[in-house]
Amino acid sequence: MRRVILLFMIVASGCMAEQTEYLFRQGVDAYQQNDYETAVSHFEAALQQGRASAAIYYNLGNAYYKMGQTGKAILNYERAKKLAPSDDDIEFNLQIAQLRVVDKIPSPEADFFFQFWHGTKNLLSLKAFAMLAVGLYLLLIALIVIRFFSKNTVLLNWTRIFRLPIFILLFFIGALFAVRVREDVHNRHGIILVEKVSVVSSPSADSTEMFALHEGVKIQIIAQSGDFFRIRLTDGKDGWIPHTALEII
Amino acid sequence: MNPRIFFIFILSMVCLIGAQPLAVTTTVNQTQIVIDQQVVFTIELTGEAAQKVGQPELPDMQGYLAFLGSGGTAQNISFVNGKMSVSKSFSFYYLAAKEGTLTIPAVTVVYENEEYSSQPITLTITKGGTAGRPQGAAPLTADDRSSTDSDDLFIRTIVSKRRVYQNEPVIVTYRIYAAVRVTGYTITKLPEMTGFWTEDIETPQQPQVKNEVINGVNYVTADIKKVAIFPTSAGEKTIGPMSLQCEVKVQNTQRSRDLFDSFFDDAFFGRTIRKSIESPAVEIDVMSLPSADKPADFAGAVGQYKLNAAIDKTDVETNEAVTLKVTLSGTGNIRLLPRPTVIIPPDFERYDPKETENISRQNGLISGSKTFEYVLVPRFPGHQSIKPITFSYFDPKNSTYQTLTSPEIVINVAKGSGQFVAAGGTGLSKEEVKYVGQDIRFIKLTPGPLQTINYRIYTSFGFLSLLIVPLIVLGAAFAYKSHADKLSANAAYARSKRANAMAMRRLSKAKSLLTEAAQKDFYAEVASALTGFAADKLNMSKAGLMSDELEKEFSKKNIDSELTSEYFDLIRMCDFQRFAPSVVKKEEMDRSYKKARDVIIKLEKAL
Repeated sequence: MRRVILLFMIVASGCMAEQTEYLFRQGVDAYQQNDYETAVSHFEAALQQGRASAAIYYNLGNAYYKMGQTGKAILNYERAKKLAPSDDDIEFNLQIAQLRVVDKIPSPEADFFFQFWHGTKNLLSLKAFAMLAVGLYLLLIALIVIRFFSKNTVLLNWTRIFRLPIFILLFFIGALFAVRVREDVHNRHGIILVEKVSVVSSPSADSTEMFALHEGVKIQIIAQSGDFFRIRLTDGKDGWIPHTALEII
Repeated sequence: MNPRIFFIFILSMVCLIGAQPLAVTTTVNQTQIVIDQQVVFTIELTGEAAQKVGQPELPDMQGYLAFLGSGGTAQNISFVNGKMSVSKSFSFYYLAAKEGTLTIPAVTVVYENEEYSSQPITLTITKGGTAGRPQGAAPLTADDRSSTDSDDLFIRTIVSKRRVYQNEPVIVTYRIYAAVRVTGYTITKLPEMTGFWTEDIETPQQPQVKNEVINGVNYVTADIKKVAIFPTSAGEKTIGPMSLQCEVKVQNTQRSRDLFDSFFDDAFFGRTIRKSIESPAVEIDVMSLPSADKPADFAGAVGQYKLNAAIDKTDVETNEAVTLKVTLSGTGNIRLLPRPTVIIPPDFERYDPKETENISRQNGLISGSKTFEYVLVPRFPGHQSIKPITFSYFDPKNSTYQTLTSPEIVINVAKGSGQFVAAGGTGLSKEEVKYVGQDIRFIKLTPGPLQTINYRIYTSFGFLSLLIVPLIVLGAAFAYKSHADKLSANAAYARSKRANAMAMRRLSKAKSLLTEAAQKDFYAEVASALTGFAADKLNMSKAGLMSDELEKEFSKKNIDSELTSEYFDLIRMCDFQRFAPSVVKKEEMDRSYKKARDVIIKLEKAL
């Protein structure tokens, strides 16, 4: 009985993957015929299957961009970027889409060290970092176990040479991974999807407007109270906006 | 040198030789004056002690003269034939206030318990016009050709107002009065204006010369400096004196009559002497602005102003810059005018305004305009309105606050072309500019690796088990390794570990032989258990183990002699019984067995 269920699950997930790929190709076809609405619906349907890839988000972003929906385009590019942080196409299209954003929010001037740190940290996706760290970890443990039991001096010499470098590498990769996990847990970002939203000083509808944000702006969510999110911009401004105005990346 | 001067010089020297330590003389520049005329009253102290005496007390002018200010102190020290002569003079400015005859009482100075007094002076103050200057004091008489009186050349500080509001301009004019020929002047000290913001008012390069008759004396006057000052805070403020050095032409050759005179006389028609003059200090009373009815947006502007706000175009497209010009014009401290309150809707990108001033310093006034130019870039289409611009100022003329308001400005913003124009350059960063005019890149044709949406690898079972399982494996491997190490790499350790078990096995075998019939085998087993245990513990060969060898080892391990002898006695007993013909009772055998067990347990602890 258990075997039957397992078999069914495998077949079902295979079907789902197949379904996702099928919808993806449908979307690509529609996009190539400049039918962006249909492309969007296919890509969205593909995501409805429960699985995603950088390519699906990227294509969906493109389709939204072509339809003039800058906010959704940026949202999907950001999601794609999360899965494939060093993909050049995603970065390029994201920059282009950001040209359409009305608000130009200055980011603090990044110095060399900050850029280096930022670049290193975002070199790989979270998953890739995890896999790399685990791989190094297994290798290190394997080397230690070999040291315990092998009597082959040549092999023992090799393990002695590699042990320290692998340990150091694991330390750094592990640290970067930990930083990324922490960011993933604590730093929630969102994209404004409505045309214009007033940022107010407190989480209630009748509080005073401080400034306005427009579609496509990326903001950091720092707190939530009822139907309001407390948001912060890269230039340090903060305030409250209704949660309907944005979508979390 | 003029012979008369020479004579006076000789005379004064003679005087000085027998002079008393202090002489006090008082002088006024004129004894017959008209109301509202200025009088300079000078107290001169001469003699050795002059230096040590402070400023004398001023005499009571009985209301005839009003005190204007101090003209300062002049000191002159010279050495003649090793004798020091000191003269010190204090001058004071007075204004004739009342008609009548005034006798200025004597000024008395006390020095070393002695009183030194001046002579009283009589002054006549007349109503004006009629009184002339006494002939003797006419300028340039033969007697004072080489010097000029302070009467002949002085400077006045003329202020437009003595009581003003904070930030209200006061026009200060420095006017030079000369009854002598002044050929040039240099300002040696500019007036000190602490607590004022000053704006120079243009004066012609060549001061305009006018004639003014004061007290019947014809003076040539010229305004040499004119400033507008704006008191920055309330309270009593002082405009410090300004010092001038004038070059005065003194004519002195025309009337030389005798040969002696002409011998000493200058060959030229006139001589130029230098003379320092100083303007009196003036007090200004500055009132703070009334706090009643002060508008909320008042930022300190005082004067009379007009506000004008204009926008260069009212129909624009998004991202197209518009310029909002807000101009304030009028009289007052233009340079320090605060910005009017401009509320710009958040949909506009705004920059700090460019401020330009246009200040006119003519006609004895500071006037002009200040323009604030705001560059606005609408980012969003629609009807955008800039709320009325307000500006509040204080009008000192009627002591009220005024608020100016411009009409509301409406801008129609149309949606610009889809592509964002970089032409304006506004709002685009350097990184962004390189993307301008480019289209997005094409989609990807393969879906790539799929993963569950919201999949968090760091909470997944696979990830966590990959972290934990190797740790368990490593721990197990380590434990096994250390155990195997002890067992295999150290046989003695293994033997010693096993010694007790072996001995106990032999003893239990002996126990099974605990019958009278198997007496010999029993004792053999007990002996074997005893020697085998020791041999195992000490990692020695059991075969051929000599008892004295064993004894040595025992003493090395610090086993007490009682236990040692007990052990060896037991072995000896066993050996004896193995070969003895007599039959041993079962109780005896049982006792031996228990004893052997006790010894092994004791040795186990000891070894």
